[in-house]
Amino acid sequence: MLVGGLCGLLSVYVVLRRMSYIGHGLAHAVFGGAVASYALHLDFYLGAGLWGGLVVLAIDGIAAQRRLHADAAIGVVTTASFAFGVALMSRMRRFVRDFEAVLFGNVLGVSARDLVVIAAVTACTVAALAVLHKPLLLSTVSEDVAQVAGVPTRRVRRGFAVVLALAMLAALQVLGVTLVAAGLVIPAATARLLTHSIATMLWLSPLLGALAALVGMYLSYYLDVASGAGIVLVATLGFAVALAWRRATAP
Amino acid sequence: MSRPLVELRRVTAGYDRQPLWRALDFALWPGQFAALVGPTGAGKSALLKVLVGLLPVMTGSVQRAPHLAIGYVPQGEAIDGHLPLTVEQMVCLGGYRQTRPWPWFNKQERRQAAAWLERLGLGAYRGRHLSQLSGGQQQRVLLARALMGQPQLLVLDEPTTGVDLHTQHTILHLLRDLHGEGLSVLLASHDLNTVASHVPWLVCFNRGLVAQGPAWHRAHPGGAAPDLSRRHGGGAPRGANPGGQPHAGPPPRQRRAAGSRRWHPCLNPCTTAFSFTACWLPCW
Repeated sequence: MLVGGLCGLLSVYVVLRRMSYIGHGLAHAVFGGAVASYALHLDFYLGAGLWGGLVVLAIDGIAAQRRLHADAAIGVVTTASFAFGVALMSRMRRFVRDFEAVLFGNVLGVSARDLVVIAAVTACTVAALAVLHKPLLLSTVSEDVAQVAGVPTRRVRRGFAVVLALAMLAALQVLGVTLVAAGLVIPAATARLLTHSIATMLWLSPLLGALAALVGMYLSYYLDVASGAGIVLVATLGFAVALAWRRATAP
Repeated sequence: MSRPLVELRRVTAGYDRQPLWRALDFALWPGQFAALVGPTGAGKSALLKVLVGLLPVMTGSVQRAPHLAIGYVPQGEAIDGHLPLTVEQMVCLGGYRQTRPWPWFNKQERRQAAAWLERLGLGAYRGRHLSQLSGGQQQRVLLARALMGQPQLLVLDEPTTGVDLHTQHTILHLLRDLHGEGLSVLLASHDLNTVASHVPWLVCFNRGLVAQGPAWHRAHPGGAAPDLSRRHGGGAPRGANPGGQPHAGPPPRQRRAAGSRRWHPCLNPCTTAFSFTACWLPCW
């Protein structure tokens, strides 16, 4: 539920800033770091976290050249990182079973230490977003206007990407690499269909994310499917209901 | 003696390492209300971006007054109708410099936003969603957002483009009123007729400074056309105060440099008066 709420909160900014693609890309990029840290016997969170930070800096550095848009930089860096992880994994076949959980999520594999990390990342994310809320919104509206108004746009962008990478790291065990991106999009997309207010979105989206996580986990347990798949399918069902409601009530 | 708000010295700037102009000297003074006029592609937007600090210069230097607060309205900023923001929230965002680091807007910010919206004729739209506004109303919201930052200098890129005639005049009259209250204003426009009738100082720019001076009908009602012989790279004389007394230009010269255009005054249909550099179209 904590992971659902965390992803739900972040998803508000991901959707408004049209960053769904970076969510998808970062999840895959972090996978490369996860495999590398496993292979090198490093701490998972430390290795994958550092890797995620480097990926964020690399994307930002390429995008800052102005010759390429950020989506191209994301496409290059994150897929390269994912490919690196896959290549490393195929060289060390004994790890394949362990990484099924990373790819598709396994809530039963969450340890007490993972819970502490998830709680800490959630607290840090809430604090960071409280400070970043206004600059993020203004730079979402117009990057140029934000810069002239005194927003350190590049630092804000990097800060948000780092928060995003940390949240992904925390959510990886539950949702899995391939599905964590959905957790960073669907709750806010559903909330947006239900409200025109940013304030409402900011509590509704985490609530929807937490609810999807709770119901999805129970479903995955009873239906014996991967926890990530269960959570994402429940969240998608919620989105479909909201879409139908929106269409039915639209003037 | 007052110092310029922003001063460019021998500035070369452009995009992708391709200079749009070279070695430009230009200054904006406190209390100035000027319009940057020129054809599409003249580099007006690039010059504004250099002035506000969005476009780095290739050579030369840009000096801004210490703690200068600039309000900026970029060209053709389309408000994203998908953003779940009300008109009031959008305007409040402009006050970033004064805002507290909390994720909400306090009463003072909301009161200030309401006052600007009221002044711009949008008081009744405070709680509306942005997508419910017309193009002209959205342009006024962007102006209110820029003013929320309590700027000393307001920079607007084509603020009257794409809006109806009534809104054009509302915006320009408001800018004139704000200038009267002490705000320095610089706007870029390709529509000379519209700005010449409202803005007291015109800067003719076409990949370099062509000429600058007071709107002719203001400086010399019924007088002869001005000297427009100062061409690219001429720049404003340092130390001059364009917001003060207008230039008394010598009689017009018909000198035509080889390969250059000849400039002529034309009747400004908006004011039925001769306006300074009233036409930048070549007269062959």
